[in-house]
Order: sequence, then C-alpha cells, then structure tokens
Amino acid sequence: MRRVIVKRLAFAVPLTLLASFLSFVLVALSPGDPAVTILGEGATPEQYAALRSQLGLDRPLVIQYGDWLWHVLQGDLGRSIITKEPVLSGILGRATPTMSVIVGTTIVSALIGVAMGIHSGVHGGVSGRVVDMLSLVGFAVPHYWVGPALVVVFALGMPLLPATGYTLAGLVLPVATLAISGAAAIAKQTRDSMRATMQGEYVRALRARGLPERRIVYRHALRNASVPVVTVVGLLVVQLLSGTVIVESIFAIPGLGGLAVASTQQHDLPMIQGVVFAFTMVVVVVNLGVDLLYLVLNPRARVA
Amino acid sequence: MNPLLRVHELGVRFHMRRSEVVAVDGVSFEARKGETVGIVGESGSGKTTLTGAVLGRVPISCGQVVFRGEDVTHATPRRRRELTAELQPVYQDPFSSLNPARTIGQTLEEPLLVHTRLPAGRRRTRVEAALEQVGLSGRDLDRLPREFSGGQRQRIAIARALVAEPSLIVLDEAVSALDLSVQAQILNLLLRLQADLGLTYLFISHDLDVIRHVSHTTVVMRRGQVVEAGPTAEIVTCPASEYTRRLLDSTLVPDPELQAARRGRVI
Amino acid sequence: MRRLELLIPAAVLTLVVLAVLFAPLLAPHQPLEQNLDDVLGSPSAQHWFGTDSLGRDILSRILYGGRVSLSGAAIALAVFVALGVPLGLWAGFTSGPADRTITWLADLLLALPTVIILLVVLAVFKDNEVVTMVALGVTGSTSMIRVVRGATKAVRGQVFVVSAEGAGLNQWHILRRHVLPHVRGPITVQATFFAATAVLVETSLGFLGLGVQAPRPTWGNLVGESIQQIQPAPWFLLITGGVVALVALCVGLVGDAIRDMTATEPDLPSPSRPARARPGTASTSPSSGVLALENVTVCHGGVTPLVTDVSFALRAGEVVGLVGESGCGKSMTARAALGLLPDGVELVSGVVRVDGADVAALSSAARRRLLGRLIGYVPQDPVPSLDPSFTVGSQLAEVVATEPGLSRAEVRERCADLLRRVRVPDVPRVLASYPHQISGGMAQRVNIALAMALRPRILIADEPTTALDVTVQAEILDLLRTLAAEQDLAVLLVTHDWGVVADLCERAVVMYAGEVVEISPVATLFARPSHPYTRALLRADLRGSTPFSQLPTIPGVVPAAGAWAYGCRFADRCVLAADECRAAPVPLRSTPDGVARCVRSDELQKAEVR
Repeated sequence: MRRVIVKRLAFAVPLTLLASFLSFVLVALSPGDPAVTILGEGATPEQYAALRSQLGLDRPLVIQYGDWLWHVLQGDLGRSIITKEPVLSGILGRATPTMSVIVGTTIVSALIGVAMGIHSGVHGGVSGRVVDMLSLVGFAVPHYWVGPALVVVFALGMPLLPATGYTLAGLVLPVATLAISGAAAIAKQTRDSMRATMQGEYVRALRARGLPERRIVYRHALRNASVPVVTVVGLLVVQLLSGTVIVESIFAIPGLGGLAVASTQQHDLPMIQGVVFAFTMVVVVVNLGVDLLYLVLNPRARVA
Repeated sequence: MNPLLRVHELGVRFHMRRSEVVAVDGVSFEARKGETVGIVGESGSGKTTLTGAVLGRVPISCGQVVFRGEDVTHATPRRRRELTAELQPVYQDPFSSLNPARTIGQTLEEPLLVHTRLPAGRRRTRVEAALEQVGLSGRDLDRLPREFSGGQRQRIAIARALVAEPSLIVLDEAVSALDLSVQAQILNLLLRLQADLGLTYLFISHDLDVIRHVSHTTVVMRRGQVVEAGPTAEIVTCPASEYTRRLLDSTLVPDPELQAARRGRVI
Repeated sequence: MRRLELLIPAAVLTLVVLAVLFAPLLAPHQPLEQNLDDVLGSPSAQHWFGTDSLGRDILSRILYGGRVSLSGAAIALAVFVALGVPLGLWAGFTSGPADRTITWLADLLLALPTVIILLVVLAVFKDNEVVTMVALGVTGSTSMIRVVRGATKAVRGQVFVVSAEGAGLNQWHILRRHVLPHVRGPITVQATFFAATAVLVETSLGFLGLGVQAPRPTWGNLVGESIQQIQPAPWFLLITGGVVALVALCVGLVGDAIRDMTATEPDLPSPSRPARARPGTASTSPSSGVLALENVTVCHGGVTPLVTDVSFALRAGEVVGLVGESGCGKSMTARAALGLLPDGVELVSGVVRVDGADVAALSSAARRRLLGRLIGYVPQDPVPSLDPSFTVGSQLAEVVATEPGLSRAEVRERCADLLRRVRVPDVPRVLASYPHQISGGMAQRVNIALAMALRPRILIADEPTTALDVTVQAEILDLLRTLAAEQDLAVLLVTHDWGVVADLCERAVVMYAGEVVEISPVATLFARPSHPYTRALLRADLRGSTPFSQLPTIPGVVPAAGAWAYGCRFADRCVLAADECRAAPVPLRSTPDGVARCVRSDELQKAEVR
C-alpha cells in the first residue's frame, strides 16, 4: 500500500515539472521581448541589452528554467510585468473565490449526480432517459449561455440573487451554471456503473442470501460502482479550472480565472506562468486525492 | 523413426516485479507422427504456457523445441510464420475464437492468403474441402459465426486449422467448453481426422477422462513440472506418482454404485 | 427510429455548415455594415435576427462568424484525429516501452486544464487562432489515445485475434482486417464529441475576448457582445448562444447515434429484480415436500417460453440432481425456485412452494426473509459471487447479524464456526482476506458457509463445482454430502455432469428443451433410463468408453427456446421416434419408480435389454 502511494507521488513530480517547463518554454519562445515591454519602444540597444542581462534573459533556456524553479521552490514566482506586484501575492489574493466556486460546484454536482445516477441505474425506465437527455444537454449547452440565462431569470427577472460579486449568495448562480453539466456527467457515469454492478454475480448471491435490497444497493453495489465515479469527479475538478475562467468573467468574481484572462490580454507572462503553476498544483493534489480514494475503495488496488 | 515434435528440458520464466515466476520447468516429451500426446494438469500446472512455448508465442528461457529435426526454439520471426502453417492451434472457447464481423469463408481463407499464393478460385475450393472434412458444407461460407451453434463453431475452428494442411494441431482445452453430446461429436471428428490425415495432436486438457480417450502418451503436469509421463494405458491403470493417483481418484464415474465404492478412497 | 436519431441532427448540421460556407452568397448584409439609425433592432423582415449595438445585421454576422469558429474547430479536430488515432493504435498494438511512454504522456496531458494551456498559448502567440486550435487538438488528443488504445487492446486480447496470429498472419494484416473494423466505432464517437468540445472551447475563448478580435465576427465574440446588451436586447444572446448550443447538441446527438449503432455488445439488460408478486392468498398444501414446483412455466418477454410445466418436489434431507445440456432450462428452473428470475423473465403460471407456502402470494419482504433463512444458494463461479470490496469476515458477519440479539463477539464466533464447519483450514486468515486473495475452492467453501449461515432447510446449488479443479471438486462434493446428511438439508443440485449426479444425488430430474423428460432414482436412471434423451446423453459420456473408439452421439442440436416441436420435443433427434411421437404433446407418464415423457418407453426398455 505504501508502495502505491509512493508511486503516485512519483507521478506528481514530473507532472509539475512538465507543466511548469512547458509554460516556461512557451513564454521564453514568445515573440515579445520583455525588455521592450518594460522599457517601451524608444530605448537604445545598449539599454535593452543591459536590462536583458539584468533579467537573466541572455542565459541558456535550461539555466533560466533552473533559476526560475529554484526561486519557485523558495516561494518566489517573480513579479508581474504590468502591475509589478509579486506573482505569488497576486495569486494568493485571488485564490479563495476560485476555490469556493470549484469546491462548491464539485460538492453540488456530486450530490445531485450520484443521487440521480443511483436512481436511474437501479430503477431504469424514465429516469434513465432523463439522465441521458440531461447529460447531452449539459454537455452541449455552453456555460456562457447558461450563466447569463440564469442572471436574466433569477437576478434581473425576479431579483432573488445578486448577479455579480463574491458573496455567499453571489456564489449560487456561478455554481449552478457549472453544476448543471457537472451533475449530468456524474449522473451518467454513476448510472452506467451502477447498472453494470447490479448485474454482478455477487449481487445475485447477496439477494439469494435475503439481504434487504436497500443494503445491497447502498452498501455493496454503490461501493463497487464508485471507482469510475470518483474518476469522473476528479476529471470534473480539472475541467472546472477551465470553467471557472468563464463564470468568473460572467459574474465578475475576482478570482484566478479573471486574473488569467487579464494577464493573457496584457501578455503579462510571469503572471500567467504563476497561474499555470498554481492550477497544476491543484490538479496534482486532486489526482493524488483520487488515487488515495481508489486505494480506500478498491482492496485489489492496494497490492498493485 | 524420429519424432515429429521433441520438447527437451523446456523452461519458461516470467519476470515479475522483483520476482521471477517459473511457469514451466524442465519439461520433456516427444510426439510421434499420427499420435496424440495428452497433457493433463489442474489450474496453475503450466500446461497453457507450455503450449504457448511450443507455438512460439511465449519466449523460452531454456531447453529446446525440435520440430521435424529442426531446432525451432529461437526461430526467426520469418521462419516462425512459415512454421505456423505446420503447427496450428484450436482454442477452448468456440464463441470468441472467431471474428464475429467476418464470414466463415473470410476467416478460413486467411491462412491461405498468408502461406500460399493460390488464386481465389483455388482458395475457395480448399476452404470448401476443409469445411466438408469437419462435417459442414460449402454453403456455410458466406454466413457469420453467430449463425452457428457452439459445436458448429468448434468445427469451424478445426476447419481453419486444417486449411493450412498442418502436420501438428495443438488442441488447447478444445472440448472443455462443450456440452456432453457435442463434446462426443467433436472428439469423434478429431479421432477420424487423425486416422484419415495422419495428424499429430498435442491435446491439452484438465480432464483426465478426455485425455484417456484420445491420447497415446500422457504427460501429467503440476506446478510447471512433469509429475509423470508415459503410455496412457499405463498411467491410468497403475500410476507411479501419488499426485496422478489422486487425480484419478478424484475423477467421477457415471455409475452410482461404482462411484459410492470409489468415494471411500477420496480424501 | 435509430436512423432518424442520426439523420435529423446530421441534416441540421449540414444546413448550418453549408450556410456558413456560403455566407458571402447567403448573407443579406455585409458583416461590418453599420447602420446607427437601427441599433439593437428586434428581429424583423429585413433583419431576421435583429441588429446589434452598431446596427449591424446579426444574421449576417453569425453566418460570417461561423467561418472562423467552425474552421477553428476543424483544425483542432484534424490534429486530434491525426495525433490520437495513430498513437492510440501504436500504444494498444505494441505493449512495452512505446505503450508505457505514450500512456504516461497522455496521462500527463490529461492532468492539465485545457483552457489554461490555451490561455498561455494565446498570450505567447498573441491571439493566433491557428496555433491555439492546434494546441487544443494536441491537449484533447489524450482522450482519443486512451480510447483507441483501450479498444485496440481489447480486440487484441480476443481469442480470434490470437487465433489469427496463430495462423501466421502478419501484424499489418491483423491491424487492418481485425483491429481497425472494431475500433472504427469508438474513433468516430470520440471524434464527434471532440468536434462539439472544440466548437464550445473556441467560442468560449472568443467570448473571453481572446483569439480573433472584433470587429471581425466570431461566434464567441458575438456572444461576448450580446452579453453587454443583455438587458435591452435579450434575444441577441438567445440567438448567438443558441446557434452554438444547437451545433454542439447536434454533433453530440450524432455521436450518441453512432455509438448506439456501432456498439458491439448488446445493450445490457436492466438489473434483475425478485419476481413480481401476483395477487393471491398464501395457501399451504400438505406433504408436498419442503420445496415444490408445481406446473411452473417461465417466459421471456411474456411470449418466449423458457421453461414449461415443470413439476417436482424435494423432501427434507434429499439430494436431487437437475440435469441437462445448456439451453434445456435447468438454470432458469433453479432461479424460478429461488424467486430470482432475470429482468424480463417471469413466472407465467404454476406455483413454487417453500415449506408448503405459495411464494408468489407472499409480500416481497416475506419472500426475502425466505432467502437465507429457508433457502440457501451456492453459485457457479465462486470468486465473482463474493463482493470484492469486503473481507470474507465482514460478508459473513453481515448475514449472521441479521439474526437479532447477537453481540459482536457472538457474531464473530459464529462466523469462525461457520468456516470451520465448511472445513476451512486457516480460519482467521480467511476471515481477514478479500475474495481476490483466496483460491476458487476456498471461495466456494465461503459461499457454502454464507448459504448455510442462517441454517436453511433447502440448498440450491447451480453447477457448484463446474469452475473448480477435479481434486477440489471432490472435496466440495464431499462437503455438500456431509452437510446435507448432518443437517437434513434438501439439496437441488443443477449439473450437466453425470459423474456429479452419480456421486451425490438420490434422484435426478432430467430436462430437455424447457421441460422435464424424466424423474427417476439415480440407480434406476443409470441402469434403465426411461427416456431416450437420458439414455443418449448417458451413452455420449466418454467415461467408461473404449479409448480411441467413436462415441455414440445425438444427431443435431438442442432446439432454441420457443422453436420447440408441437409433439415430442426430442423426436427429431431420437432413434426411436415414430409418427405417434410427433402427433401431440407428450404427457409425463408414470414409470415403475418415477415419471418419463415418452410414448415409447416400452420400446426403449426392450432396446435396452437387447
């Protein structure tokens, strides 16, 4: 069991390195010259060269990356070219709203999705078709359409909820926007997984032992059906990192997504690098959590 | 006379993480032309790995496989492909061993496409002949596997092995998944084909009764090793090893009185 | 029906794509043509979709905008397929380092949030649409790689591919003939779903003000503009977002339809449930045995009979074999006796009595209480019949604890005792083991212990030793014999093996084509079978044959359910068949010590003597 955990941790390290290296190389290869960005167009070639040397940009790429990484390990992600604010504090200052949206959406999607999935997996029929339709609609209807539609109905039409801003009530609409597709995806996976599990020979054997149907469904089948569901929940969190960019823009939430978009529009490369690094770390942690959950849920995985 | 197939001190080892599993260990036997070697063993005995090694599908760690006097232990891939015309397998499950999306004709034609340059008309004649040899007809060529019963599919699998005109057929639990009456039909067919075509069989089974019915010599395997080997009649009447005796005692006899009498000896 | 599900969305898609393609011909206005006198105009005859804040025709802007968005999606899709399919095939087809490297890279890429990667690309390449879409194709291709690899591996593991290799076919041939036709479906499905994703992502970026910039229209920046005008002109958002949603929905529907059409496996039947209760009152009939089936008929889908008019009874302490070849209905009969028929299969008529009570008349809760307490069940496949997520001990305790008033320690002791009774050698270790950690023989002992946990009076065992090695089979049969004798159990043993019948059973019920053809004590059955099928099946058994001899066989095959003859169902394969056999359904007739469904039993006995 400890070996499996070590193996998973060993996967997280190259993942982090690869993501940071990719973003670093992309940034370094970018046509823009930070020296020009900082000094403007009017400086002399000597001034540009001096600044490049001062920023360490005249060194080989790998050295620059190593240098950047060394600073990252010490908690120094550099400074924004635009605002001159340290990247780390910029990220930390905006992390909470984003995390609230992601965590909130994950919980809401999982609760609704699993409940719907179990019902349609065990009873089939109409609820099965509802899950099929919902998952297709949830997949096809873009967040940037659902979000404003919810605003029109619930904030402008009948002013129940605020349309913008980072408050508890303000989180309802963004979370709802993202949770529709999230819950649909989880419901579909739960349904398929439960349906397959309920066909299992041990379910027949459990019935033949006279155990109550509810116990068979919730204690035995759900436990065995849960591994692929956990996978989908993990993938959902990764997708939400993308989704939050959209909803933060719609609902004017001061989060990391908005920061990423603004930095992209301004070509503020150190800041983007920092955001990518932060998001990668979230992914690493989520994947690690998912893998550990596998170990808890599936005794056969513990020996691998 | 030289044996058609000679397996000498064959060993197969699999490397697992940090450990090594010896699947087959020092196995030797010979198969003479026109005869059947039965290999019997329970699960984990290594009999399936052994057939894989003979067919060249499993890398051999030590020992030799000699076919028609030629050492084919480490044959080149090219030579291996040529050899497949001579060494044909038939597997256990008649439902999964045929591609469900291809007609019987297409499936049976494949070995001819690989091993010969026959024109389409001649290929069709060969395929029809093979189907008739196994008791089916040329009319079945354009049908799909799902239109056939389990027994008929196993006949088709045998026909596919015959098309290439092999000298040795490896039957890997080939009658184990079949119902009693179908099993009898397929065994009859195999025995008749052997008599008519002079085929040599390597017959792998967990069922000592089947082995007793079809094999001239028998190899009893357990945990990758040969427990005992020799003429079948000797092995089933006076086994030399304790394990073979236990296997024999564990087999059931379809006769209530006889079975009741034997039961006392089974622990 | 299936065709319409594909055709309608495909037709809508084709229309949209054609309209976008021929935008210069179709668009009523130029996309950049402003008219400040008519800003935010509602849909009208002149402007079908209305006008935007600069008085530009929205319909025209959507048609032109689609050229950017759809071609962007097409680029991403092309990269997705070009990268994903070959890599997936390569990884799936060759195991080893190539597979490991590709899988590892795909896993890495999958762990990165797509939009963030695209933001970096956009920042670096200054809103270059083509590079961004290529990047989208690359990051997305991991899902294609995984799916193609999985499908390829699955096909490669199939016996028919192994057989084809055994026939000496080369790799290229196998890939083309056997693998590609089977992975074509998953590839198409993945490609359609990714096409929808690409459209959604492309428009999302446009919505965020990235990629191709205004005033040039794209579907994404049109949505972005429409949100600014959401209060004065809500239809603007409805239309612009709606177009994207419509396209994504249609692509998704096409994908679903293709998946349904190419699915190689038939749809899973819905989960089985205990047989539906029929109205009626519980009645008891005396002296019919502890388990009795009376004229039981079981149908699939209400029409296809699987088992017809089956009657037999078990006395306490009696072991009865239910014998026949596959397709004869013996397993279905056993499941009817358990009251656990698969979904879609129903008890159409007849009565199952347990301890005299009509099971169908009981409430579902009462019926459930019979299971375990009165009837125990031993399955065919020992390991898959145990829940893989729980230890043997906890599964045993779950059943034992349904008896009220037991302390934890008592439950634990009872579990250990049950395992000792089924002769498990190392009880503490087995209690703490998960099912995958014990052997098949050990798992079957555990299944028997589970079946015996609440001391039932009836045991229904469905081919309990078929999946086991012979030496283990002998031990399990011995165990069943001892338990039956010690606890006065009635055992119904489903088997196809005459040896098992001879070893364990006192009587045998022989089934053919869904009906009982003979019931006899085993001594009589083996010595003087009363039905030609019994005799033919006994003779086909190679045990006791002369080695290398041709075995007696039964011509033909067991007829499929529902394709049974009107008269004797065995007549077509029977050597004794005469006209009278085919004239009318044959009833069960008494024999000296049982029953048989044959009008020529006398002839059979004479033939036997000869």
